[in-house]
Amino acid sequence: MSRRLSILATIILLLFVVAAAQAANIQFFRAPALDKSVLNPRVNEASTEYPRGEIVAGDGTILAQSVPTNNATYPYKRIYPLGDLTAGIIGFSSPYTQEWGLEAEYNNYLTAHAQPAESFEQLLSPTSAADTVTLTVEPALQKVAQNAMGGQDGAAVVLDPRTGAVLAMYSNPTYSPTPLTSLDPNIVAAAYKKITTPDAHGFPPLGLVATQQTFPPGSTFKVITTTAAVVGNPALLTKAYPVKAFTRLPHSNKLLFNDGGQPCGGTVAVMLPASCDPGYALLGLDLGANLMSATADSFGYDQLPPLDFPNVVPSYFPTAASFAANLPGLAYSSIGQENVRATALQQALVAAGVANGGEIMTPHFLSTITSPDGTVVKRYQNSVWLSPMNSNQAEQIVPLMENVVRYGTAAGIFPSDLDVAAKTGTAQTGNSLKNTDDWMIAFAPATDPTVAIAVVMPFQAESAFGATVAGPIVKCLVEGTLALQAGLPVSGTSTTCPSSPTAAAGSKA
Amino acid sequence: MAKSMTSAPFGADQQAVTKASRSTELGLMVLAWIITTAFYVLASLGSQGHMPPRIWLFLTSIVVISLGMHFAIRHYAPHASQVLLPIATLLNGIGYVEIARWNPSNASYQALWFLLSALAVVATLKFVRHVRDLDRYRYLTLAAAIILMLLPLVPHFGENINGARLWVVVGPVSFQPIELAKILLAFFFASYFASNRQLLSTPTQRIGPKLIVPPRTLFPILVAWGFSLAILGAENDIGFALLLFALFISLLWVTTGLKTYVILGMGLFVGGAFVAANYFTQVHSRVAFWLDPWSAAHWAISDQLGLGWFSLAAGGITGTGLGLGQSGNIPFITSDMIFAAVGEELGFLGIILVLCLFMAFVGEGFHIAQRAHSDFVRLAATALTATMGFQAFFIMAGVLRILPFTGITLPFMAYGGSSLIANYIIVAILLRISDENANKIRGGQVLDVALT
Repeated sequence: MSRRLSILATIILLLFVVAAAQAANIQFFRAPALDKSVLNPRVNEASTEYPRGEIVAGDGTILAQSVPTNNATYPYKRIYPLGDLTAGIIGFSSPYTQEWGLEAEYNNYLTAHAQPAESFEQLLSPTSAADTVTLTVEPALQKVAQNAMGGQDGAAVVLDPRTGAVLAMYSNPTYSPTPLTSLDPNIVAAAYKKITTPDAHGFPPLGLVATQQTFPPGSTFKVITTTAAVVGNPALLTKAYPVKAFTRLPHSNKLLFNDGGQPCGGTVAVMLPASCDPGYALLGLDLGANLMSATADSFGYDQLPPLDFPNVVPSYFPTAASFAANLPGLAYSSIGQENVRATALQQALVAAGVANGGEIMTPHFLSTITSPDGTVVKRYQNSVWLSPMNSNQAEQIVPLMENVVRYGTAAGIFPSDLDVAAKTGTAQTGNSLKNTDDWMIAFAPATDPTVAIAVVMPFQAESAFGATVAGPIVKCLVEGTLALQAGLPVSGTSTTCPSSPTAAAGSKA
Repeated sequence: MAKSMTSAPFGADQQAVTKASRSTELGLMVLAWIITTAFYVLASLGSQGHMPPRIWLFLTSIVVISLGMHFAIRHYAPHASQVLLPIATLLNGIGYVEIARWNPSNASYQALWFLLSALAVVATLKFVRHVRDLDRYRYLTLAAAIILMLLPLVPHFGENINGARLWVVVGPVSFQPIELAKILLAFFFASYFASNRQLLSTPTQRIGPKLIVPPRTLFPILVAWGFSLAILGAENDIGFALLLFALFISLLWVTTGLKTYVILGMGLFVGGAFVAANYFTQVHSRVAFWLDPWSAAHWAISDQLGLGWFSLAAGGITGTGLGLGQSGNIPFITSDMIFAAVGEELGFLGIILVLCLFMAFVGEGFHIAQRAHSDFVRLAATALTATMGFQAFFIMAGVLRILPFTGITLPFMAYGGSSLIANYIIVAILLRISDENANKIRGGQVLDVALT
């Protein structure tokens, strides 16, 4: 009986060990998921009992704030003073859905949380309050982008190449966040359904085109092809490619025609401003699949850009191996066609990398996070994300991009007193639709760049070009940013920039 | 005790032991008071932002009542185990802090129950001088247990609370007689098993090629057990049915060592559970909520288990801190779900503390049982300790969703007078048995006991 007593005691003690194991499972392994469960009252209590923190723009404009309601369950609701101008990046916070955009990215700071104690009683019973998130975004530049894009689908990204700070990021389609913050769940559900429904071009308003939609980058990719030559095979820079209207691609009977059909060729220095397709296709074949693929990746292709923003998608360049049996594919890829796809954010980072002496700074929205008493909780520390080239190599590319503006494909777009370096892109898409995705990437001033921009306008007419569609938008953004950085008013710098979204309809032509 | 004092060779030793012997208990009690008071203060500061208003009354009450028990043990059972009372006091204290946090009016009652429990401890020690004497009242204990269990079924007297008819209401006070009945049943089982040990463990009746125990031997105990379960079935309480079942099977196996009983018992249990889950609505819904508390249909009816898990998750490893948890919205947070409240405010570490205290209690209980010198006393100690261990595990397992939620009380911690008093009586009986053990070892009565 004595032995059996020991066994029974052991069994009961083991039951307690099982309880301990299950407690560890719940409190450690499953806790993160349970803490976020929609059924968990703590989630809603934290977000409704106290006001959320404010989101503030670089110039001090309030982009998001919580205001009191007379509803007992939800004593606060969110308002977004700039509405659809910043909806794409700020997102929204509603008691009935998850957070989106920067509201989601910085939710931990924006949700009321225990504050550091200032007295013994606060140490034992911490007070709850939310932090204020200050962004690098300039609402004036958002407005310039919105006006210049004239309601057409597309995306504009404006970076400070020296720091990686996002000065503006605007996409169409956009949406009004107001109905989504309603305390009536039916209004929220209807608005949510609307913004998650894709428009005629397949873009749901909730998905930010600038970070979530990829397009063939077209000739803007030639900056990367040029970098591959400068960094990996400088000898090819002096090789003169034949001046022809088309070239025959290897291992196939395909003919690659220059856009527009006129003959074009020469050295890289001649071909980049004129954007020669046949010559760059041959250059890409000379550089080889390994170097092309590695150079694309050195600019951030096939990686997730470390932007402090949810749901960013990577851009795509095919692997070197995939070209082994597809040399025509390498030729097309070298001019940013076929399967190459990029986000507006990625191409802005390409421009920023060349502008910043070959170093791509980590892109970011965050400037500072401050606690309710004004102490800085977190200050964004600038860092280099990628270094596709050194500064000497970058200096070889800058003049070529300046020549694009002086006498190349972007000639006549910018006022002559602006020292801009740029590259246009016009990617033919759709075999039957016959559309173009029109691009321009640019930075200015070319000698000491303080702004880098990418604009993509997809689903444009077959006859449209990057210069004609994206060019005017980039021009307005360059002027606006340089004025802002010089401390001048952003609006009114140019009479040709539209002052409202509808006035820009003429730029379609 | 008087006899042992006359034993010359051990007399001198024993005097010294008697004087110094209970300082360990007192030291551990002081530790329990300090921890409980610190928790009480922290919980008040955390939730209210100020010191608890009646902190001195709180501290004085707990110290005076505990010291009362301590000195009663010094007087009535000087050689008893020194760890049981401090463990009970600390578990009681942690539970009280959480009760005071979520239901202050319950807390005042719980303080009263603590006082009555202390009186019950003193009374038990005073009147039960030899646990082996209780063997004489075998069928009386059974009858008393059955009457107690029938009480809630008496019209106008019993009351349904949370679907189970377990309460007896007298004036402003409601009482769960089953808590006391479980002690009486433990004694009945111990008594019956001890006296029929030989018969129960020797298969003599032939059925085909196999020898089995004569059914006649098992008849009374099966009737008693079946009757208990039938009453509980009528009262719709699966918690105590499960507890009695576990106790019965454990004791039967400890007594006889026949695995057949365990296998048979498990078979009966699985069959019974299957039938109950399909045909009794309360059991059926408990099982359904246990398997999936999250579905919208279940959540709308009872969010208790899910909210308990959210509390545990919010607690994490180190807890939210006392007074800072948000378990207040959980139904029955101070009784059935108190383990979740502790898990939130004290975290996994707090749960480990509570588990360790129960493990120490159960370990000490079995230690006392091992040293008992008669089958009856040994089985009684085993039964009481196993009851405590199983009861604690079943309710924790319910909150943790290891088992379906049974809604029995967490010993010492949960709010409830009957539960608290009954568990303190178990402490008193174990103290008495351990005191007897010590005396017998010292007093040279081993032969005497072995002959009985």
